[in-house]
Amino acid sequence: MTIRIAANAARVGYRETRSQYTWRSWLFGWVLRLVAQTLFFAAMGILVGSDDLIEFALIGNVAAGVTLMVLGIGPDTAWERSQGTLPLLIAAPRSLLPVFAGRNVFHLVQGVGEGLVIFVLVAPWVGVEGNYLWLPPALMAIALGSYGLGLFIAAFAIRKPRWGNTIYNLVYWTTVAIGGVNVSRTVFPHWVQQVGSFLPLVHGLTGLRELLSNGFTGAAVGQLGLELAVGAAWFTVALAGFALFSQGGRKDGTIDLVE
Amino acid sequence: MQSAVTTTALRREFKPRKRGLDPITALDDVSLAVEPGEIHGLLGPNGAGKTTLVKILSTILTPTSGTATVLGHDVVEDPGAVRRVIGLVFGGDRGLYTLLSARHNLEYWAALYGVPSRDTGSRIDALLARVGLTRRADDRVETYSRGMRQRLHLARGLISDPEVLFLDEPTVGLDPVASLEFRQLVMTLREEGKTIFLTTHDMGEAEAICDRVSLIDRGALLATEGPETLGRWITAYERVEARGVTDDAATMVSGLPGVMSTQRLPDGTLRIETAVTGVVRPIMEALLAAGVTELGTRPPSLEEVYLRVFGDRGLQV
Repeated sequence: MTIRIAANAARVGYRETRSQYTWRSWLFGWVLRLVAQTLFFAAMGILVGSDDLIEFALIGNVAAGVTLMVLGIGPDTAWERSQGTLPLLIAAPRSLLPVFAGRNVFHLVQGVGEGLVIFVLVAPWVGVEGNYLWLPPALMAIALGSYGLGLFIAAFAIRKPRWGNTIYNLVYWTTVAIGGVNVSRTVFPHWVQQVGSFLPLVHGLTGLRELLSNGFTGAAVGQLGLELAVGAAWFTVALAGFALFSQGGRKDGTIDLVE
Repeated sequence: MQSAVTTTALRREFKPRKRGLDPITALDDVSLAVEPGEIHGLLGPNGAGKTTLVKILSTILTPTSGTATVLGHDVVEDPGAVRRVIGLVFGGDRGLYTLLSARHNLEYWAALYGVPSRDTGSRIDALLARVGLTRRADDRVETYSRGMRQRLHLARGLISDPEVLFLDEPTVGLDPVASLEFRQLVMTLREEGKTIFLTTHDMGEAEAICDRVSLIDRGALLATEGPETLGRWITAYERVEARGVTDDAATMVSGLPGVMSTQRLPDGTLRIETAVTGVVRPIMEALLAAGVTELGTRPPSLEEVYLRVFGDRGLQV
């Protein structure tokens, strides 16, 4: 039954995504924005004449683009509110988790696809070459790692609808700042690195860099495994969050029939 | 026999966003019972607390105090059990996935309500036929008229074959024909033994389809009456409106027995308000005798009935 719910919700999510973009607006709006971000940071490497830094920023921002898309499911409860379907979902006898997990599954595919498109567009431009066959599976691991936290933000937005976008941006930019996207995590104090360990992207990006540098090593697999474990942990937290926050919304009356 | 829906001393307060302000009381000591198989109306003006009560009964909102049960299940203690036996339909354009077809909407809600896969297709076909949407079943809901959307809402609310159905202002915004069609659909549900709790601010609607009607205002339940009482009020407080009435004729009419007041509207129309039943006919006859040919009757507004029937206890107009 859970899979049926998720599959039906995935259809809703797919239709909504299709309604948000045409291929032109996606390519020349959203993708261009991600390309510009990636190019900006890669250009720092060009400025200082460091090939390592160019590649570091390129891979980091490609991976961050995946996380950006996947965490974007967080404010998605806003869709349910604006459509008036959230109270009906609350009044239905099933958990909200399969609903939101299903309706946003398309973001996983879209996130990975966008990461690859950015790489293909920017890498030749900044002169990065090599064997990047590990990129797709590693990006998928990062997408899965980010999914749980995105769902938790979605659960939070049920209780605090006005905070959904704020939390999404705060989490994303914190992850980018301390997650080793543009600068190595080692430049931060130990405790900041420890905090970063609980965020998605961090382990997956470390694993991806390891794969690209040294191939299929135990360290790379371990880091990608940790990324999936972080995702699973956040998924569990999201499960509790949906129960807790919908209960809170019922108490304080923030779930309304007419928003 | 156990009531289908009961509330006992139900109260709901909302904290204002600004600190220091007193809580807003949306429901105040509401006790009522809805019997199995009846269409029970909750009649009240906007802001009376109708939707708050439906939200509590459908487990979307918890009460501040008091208890509410649906088929014996407490809405706070056992919301899961309540959700399995109810359907919820509200009015307006929302509550549907407009980018999906009607069929896909219903498939989605069938999954959410645990309808077995093997039964889903036939149940959806039957519901679509019942609400007259078979031919448009595979079109996107965004292309539907307001009335079609409301019928789909009803089909969605029935997807789990609930024993109790909550309809919150289901005909709001519908044109008269669509409203009538919707009411007819609701009445067929009563024949199947479903319990229906319907909120409305339309006295005519409440009178037409409800077995009993509870009147609510400012969060407090004022009375529970049969539809015949409502009908009596509507008739008793019916207005006559006439155009082209001379001042002499207006004076004559205002002196007739049972006429409570006359009022000249800005466009010259004379509005005659009555206080008892059976006076509309003599008023109209008197007007016709005075040569007035443009005249008709209008039902009283809900606010007027509240003011007349409940006085200070009712709405302040």
